[in-house]
Amino acid sequence: MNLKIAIIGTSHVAPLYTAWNSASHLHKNIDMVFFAAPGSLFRRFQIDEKRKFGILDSSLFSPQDIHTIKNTFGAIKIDLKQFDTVVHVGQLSRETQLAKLVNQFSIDEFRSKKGCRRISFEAFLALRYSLARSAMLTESWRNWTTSQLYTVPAPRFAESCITSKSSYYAPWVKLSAENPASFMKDLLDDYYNLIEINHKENGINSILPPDEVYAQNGLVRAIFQNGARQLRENAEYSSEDHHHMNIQYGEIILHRILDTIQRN
Amino acid sequence: MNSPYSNLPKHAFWSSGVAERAPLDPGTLYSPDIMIDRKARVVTAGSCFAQHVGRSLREAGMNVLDAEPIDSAVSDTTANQYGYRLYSARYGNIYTVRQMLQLLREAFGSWQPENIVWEKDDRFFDALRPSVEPLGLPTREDVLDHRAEHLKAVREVFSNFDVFIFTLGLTEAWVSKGNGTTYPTCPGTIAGTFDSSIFQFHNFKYLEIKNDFLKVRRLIKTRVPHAKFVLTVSPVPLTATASRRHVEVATIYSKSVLRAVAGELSDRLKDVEYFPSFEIITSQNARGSYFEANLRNVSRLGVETAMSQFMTAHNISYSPRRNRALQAKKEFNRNLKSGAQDLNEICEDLLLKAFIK
Repeated sequence: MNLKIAIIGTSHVAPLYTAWNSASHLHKNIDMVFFAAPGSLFRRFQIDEKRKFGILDSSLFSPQDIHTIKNTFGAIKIDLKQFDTVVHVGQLSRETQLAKLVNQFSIDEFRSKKGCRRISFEAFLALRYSLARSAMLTESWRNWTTSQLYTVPAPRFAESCITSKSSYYAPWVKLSAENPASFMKDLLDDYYNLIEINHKENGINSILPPDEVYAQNGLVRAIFQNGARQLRENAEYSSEDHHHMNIQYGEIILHRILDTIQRN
Repeated sequence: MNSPYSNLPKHAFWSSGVAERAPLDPGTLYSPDIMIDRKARVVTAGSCFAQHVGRSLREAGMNVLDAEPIDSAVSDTTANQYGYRLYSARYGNIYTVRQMLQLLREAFGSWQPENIVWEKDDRFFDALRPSVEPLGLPTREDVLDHRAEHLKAVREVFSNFDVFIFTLGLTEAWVSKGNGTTYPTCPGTIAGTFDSSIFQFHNFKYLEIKNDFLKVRRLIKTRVPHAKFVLTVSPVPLTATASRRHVEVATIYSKSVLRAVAGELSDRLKDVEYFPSFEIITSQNARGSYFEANLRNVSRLGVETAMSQFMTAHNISYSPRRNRALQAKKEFNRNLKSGAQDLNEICEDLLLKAFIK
């Protein structure tokens, strides 16, 4: 019997989709369905109690959005109960807020920085925990009793972001300039572990990339950024985009997903 | 027949001003002489109820200053637990005018408090704002260093603002026998140990409170000559009294004294306004609806009713329902479970409940 897997998510689904197209012939027992949209649209998708997911109330979406989704996937919603496994890809982890938080403070017993406001380590942990909670999938995704749900968070930024001139990446430029690489790596690893634990406590399993994708500072190695392509029209991302990864990254994550699902 | 009462407006009479008003019609109890606009740089401080005041002002888009801000992605609940987003700096609740005066004097270097580091389970707490670090700090020095930083923020915020909204909370306090340092909590509740040779109970009298406020005003005016003041009295009753009276009697005494001081100050001084949140919340017309089931905490409806009067009087558009919808959207965007936001205030004196036999 075939294993039915739904991969749903944001633009970060693109490298997985490409990787699957190259590898699907090796997994005849897997029926994999994709349902994705750019983050700004995907995050507005709705889910109901029967686990229908997508555009459930057309009046809340533009005709263009509806047309795009219908044209791409043949439907504007997907019935997630039809799948043995659902993989939710691209949930934002709010790690830039974490970077901003760390940049803002001199944290007792953790990071001493002259000229920054002081904060106790306990307060920092509480604030970090709050951020991690805010990065969790919402109530409707928690504690499913039918279908397995996995989450694959959006990739961390690529290491090249620390030389970016864009204000979008400024917190990373600052964090990297003021702290050793190992500090950044530990910070990010601990934070992602926290999100993973929070998800686990709510019945959601996380699939995290292996360590090999990360540079010494905990950001994604630059080789996985080169040649990243967009979900729509397959156009290449600009060199100032440090968040979308290429097919090599997609292959690693796909392997991780299949390995985890088949083991369970 | 002519009488001084014959040409008075309806609101001057109890029957037409209160009894004949529909239940929960708050009437128009507030017509300010000092107008505040959206651009005014507002500083807030005071007892627990002042948290509602500050929150409502921020929700209405007013320019409430915050010298110790925290990233917006951190939930309000967590931020509030560590003293963020409650007031214009992390000073926690300031229940008495003496506390306010001492904070400003300390910040501007003219006074030093004593016995300000309290210990509990090998952790150390700032006795003057014990709730901002609920788990305490590792050493005494840490407490003093953090406090020094906090005082910088207090100096910053009280040196450059337009309107100070101060909610008067209590007359009862615990003070040091040495130099009269006034604490927000009784030693031994959050931290510290009660030692009757060091600490004593003090119920501030009318004149003390009035004079303390005048000193606060003078201290501020030397730095911010154009500063205006809005006084309110917290409608939240005492959690407990050390006055040996019944808590209800002690509450009315305390609120009456504070209300009388605020009344005289606003009548006498052109730069001081009184906002009657106390009267709105405790009005007989509300039939108790503005309190939660414990008859102490002010309900959401009560807060919204009082603050709607404030905003309307100052021509500031304020729609709590719309604000809640925006808040929900913000929460949604944070991917938080909706409804996690609560309206609870951080009240150190609630800890006194632990001592009920």
